[in-house]
Amino acid sequence: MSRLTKHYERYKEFIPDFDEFMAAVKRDQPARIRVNTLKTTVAEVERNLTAKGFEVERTTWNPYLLTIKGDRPKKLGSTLMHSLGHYYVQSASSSVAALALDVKPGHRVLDLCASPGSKTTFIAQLLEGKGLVVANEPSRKRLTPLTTNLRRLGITNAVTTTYSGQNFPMRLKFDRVLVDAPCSGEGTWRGPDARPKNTSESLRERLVKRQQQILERGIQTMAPDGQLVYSTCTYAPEENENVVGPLAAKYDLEILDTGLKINACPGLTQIEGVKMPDGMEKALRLYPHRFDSEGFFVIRMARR
Amino acid sequence: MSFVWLDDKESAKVEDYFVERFGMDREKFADFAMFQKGDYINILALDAREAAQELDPSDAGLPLAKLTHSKTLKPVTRGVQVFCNEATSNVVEIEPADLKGLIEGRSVESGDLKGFVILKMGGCAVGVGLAREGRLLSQFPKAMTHHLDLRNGGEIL
Repeated sequence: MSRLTKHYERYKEFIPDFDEFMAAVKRDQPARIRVNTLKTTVAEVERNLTAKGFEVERTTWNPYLLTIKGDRPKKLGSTLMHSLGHYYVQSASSSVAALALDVKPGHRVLDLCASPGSKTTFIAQLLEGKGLVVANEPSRKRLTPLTTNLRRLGITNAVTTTYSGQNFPMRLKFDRVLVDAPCSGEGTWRGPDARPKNTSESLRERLVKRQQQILERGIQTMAPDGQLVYSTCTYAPEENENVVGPLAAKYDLEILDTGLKINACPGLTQIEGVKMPDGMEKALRLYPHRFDSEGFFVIRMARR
Repeated sequence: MSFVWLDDKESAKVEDYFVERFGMDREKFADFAMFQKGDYINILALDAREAAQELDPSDAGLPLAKLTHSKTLKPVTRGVQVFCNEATSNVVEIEPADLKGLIEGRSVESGDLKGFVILKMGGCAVGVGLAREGRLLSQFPKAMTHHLDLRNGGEIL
């Protein structure tokens, strides 16, 4: 049994068609780009990439997302269009988290863990230049790629801050809050060379504590009629339903349908005999054999 | 580095530069505030100004112009790409082959133009050039071009 299979064994009870899941994990995920409609159009990027020999396919559920087929995806970051900010190389799962926020032009949006900016720049695109996105990133090292991407994509209504997520000031309230929490990253382990990374008990405990603190601050920065999306790129229930459940109960949050028609599995309604708050089944669990991208967890909530 | 917000008069001076040199419509800047951060003048949507003032930001909006040693303005690539698509004067329309040459350090002909010009390709502002003695020099930041694949049959990919 490979180290990867051994690592994922504990998820066998809730990941359907486990053998298919393992087979998908060991395949590369398709390369995808999100067209930046603040600077260009989907048709224009499609036309240009096709002319340069890329094989391009549209996505049914996300009008901005293109799948790039064939053997050239590695060059997607070396094109002039990329340099001009006409698109962002983004996984399908990552785009789900931003779409689930249901951002409308004019909203004030907070992205608490923003670098490298894949979701922040998508949010800005959905704002159509109206409203605000605050891109918070506590790691100084990760600030450069965030700033570079915000500038490359031509975002004029973003403010970048460096607070630790759990200490973000509460004096401003937001219509939408995204907590794409730091996590063990299991969902990103894909491809023939994928290997499990450190997910020791002590690391997981530290992560969970941080996730709870950041999510709690995210909830505290929501406007009274605001909404929040919590997402991670891990399958671990401890970092997903178990983080959200107690805080959703504490703050009397309603779990909302994301409204996205994608091939996702529902959130877990019971973990080790403990019942999760009502509505947890509306969360999205993205598995690579059902939704060919990174493994992800996405849940949308609002105050009752 | 702190932000120093430009008042209406100071912002109007920056606008004057873009209106007079590049023939831009002043209305283009109507929904934006400007601030100075180091040597750069940044432009930020008015909707985002309150947050930039209430929080402790490390960055905001886009760099639009740089203050030179002689206190004149130099347009900045990322700001130009968003704000200067409608520029009508001191504009040079280039072909992909010219762009490749500029990135590789070669100059192209600029005619009678002098000083900073807006480079357009297919009608879209892509960057800034410096016209001097009939030649045009690239002002593209290396960070924007170093990763470009220039080997695709002699064209930029």
